[in-house]
Amino acid sequence: MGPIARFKRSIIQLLAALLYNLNFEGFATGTIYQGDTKGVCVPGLNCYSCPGAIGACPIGSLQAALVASDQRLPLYIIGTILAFGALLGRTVCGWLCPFGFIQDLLDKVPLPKIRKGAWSRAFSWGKYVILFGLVIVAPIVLLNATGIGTPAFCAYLCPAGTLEAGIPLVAMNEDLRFMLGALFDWKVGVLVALLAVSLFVYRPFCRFFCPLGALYSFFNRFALLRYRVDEEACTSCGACLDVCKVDIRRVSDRECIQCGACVTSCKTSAIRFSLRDMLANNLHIDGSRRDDAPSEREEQRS
Amino acid sequence: MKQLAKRIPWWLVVLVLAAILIALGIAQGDFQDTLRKAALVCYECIGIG
Repeated sequence: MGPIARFKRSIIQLLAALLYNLNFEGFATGTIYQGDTKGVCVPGLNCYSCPGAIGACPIGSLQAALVASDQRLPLYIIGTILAFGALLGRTVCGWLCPFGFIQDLLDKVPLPKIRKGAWSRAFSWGKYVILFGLVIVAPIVLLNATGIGTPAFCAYLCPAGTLEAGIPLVAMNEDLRFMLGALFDWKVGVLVALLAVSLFVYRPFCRFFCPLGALYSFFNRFALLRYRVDEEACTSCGACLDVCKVDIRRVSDRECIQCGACVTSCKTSAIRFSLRDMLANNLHIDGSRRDDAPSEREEQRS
Repeated sequence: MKQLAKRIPWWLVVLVLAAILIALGIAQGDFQDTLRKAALVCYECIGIG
């Protein structure tokens, strides 16, 4: 396997992070981009207050819309999340999320790793609690003295906001430094704790806390881009589950971040990327095998 | 007809629904709202507000 194939996912993650943050000038000036592309959401968790960001964060935008006092359904944001979900599902988590990329890099640090188990499976429900509690309910229910809701996830938890926006903006703007208080200390503490845990546990934020991953997980079983298992070729040996670092029960279930680590572990080549199969004309658009297409075994024989 | 309905994948159904919602959202001014919010520093996001 060549270096490009070996690091393909890392290269795409890096390119996605750069593409979301093309306003390099912002890092030098400590200002944020204000062009029209800021109205378009990017698929991954990337804070729109990051000096480099040229797009909006879907979770930040959803919360901002729910906080607004006019009680209008945020159809544009809901539609955008549905579109990303239908096309990509949690492929976003594995390939297109800058904060996931940072955790992947920390996982490469050679330290003892805590393996997944019943504990991590239980914690994986945490992201749904955060999605419904902090992202959806809190902005509507927790009102301040002026009747405006609280974007609780962004305000109290989001480590991507602290890393990508809080720290760079505070470092570059003296005016902001005078406004710092306990909340900033708390958010930096959350960030440091998560990054430290990422050294020992694979992607703790994505698996246990990320509300965007929770949203995309609802689409993972039927998204256009995902790994599929050829049931004819699968021998149910469980090698894919053993090699997987997250808490899947089967390939492309709600926990699968579509990283593709399982593909090489499969001795019968039963796991394949949906798009590659479709482009090879072996499958219909719905993923079913065409009647005139040769079966996997026939292909291997030929 | 039933065969055709069976062949339509879920992702396509959701994508069409998403396109409709995005169009309705833009029509009610959601894009401008998102742009207005994202073009300003979010004090909550950076841990100040």
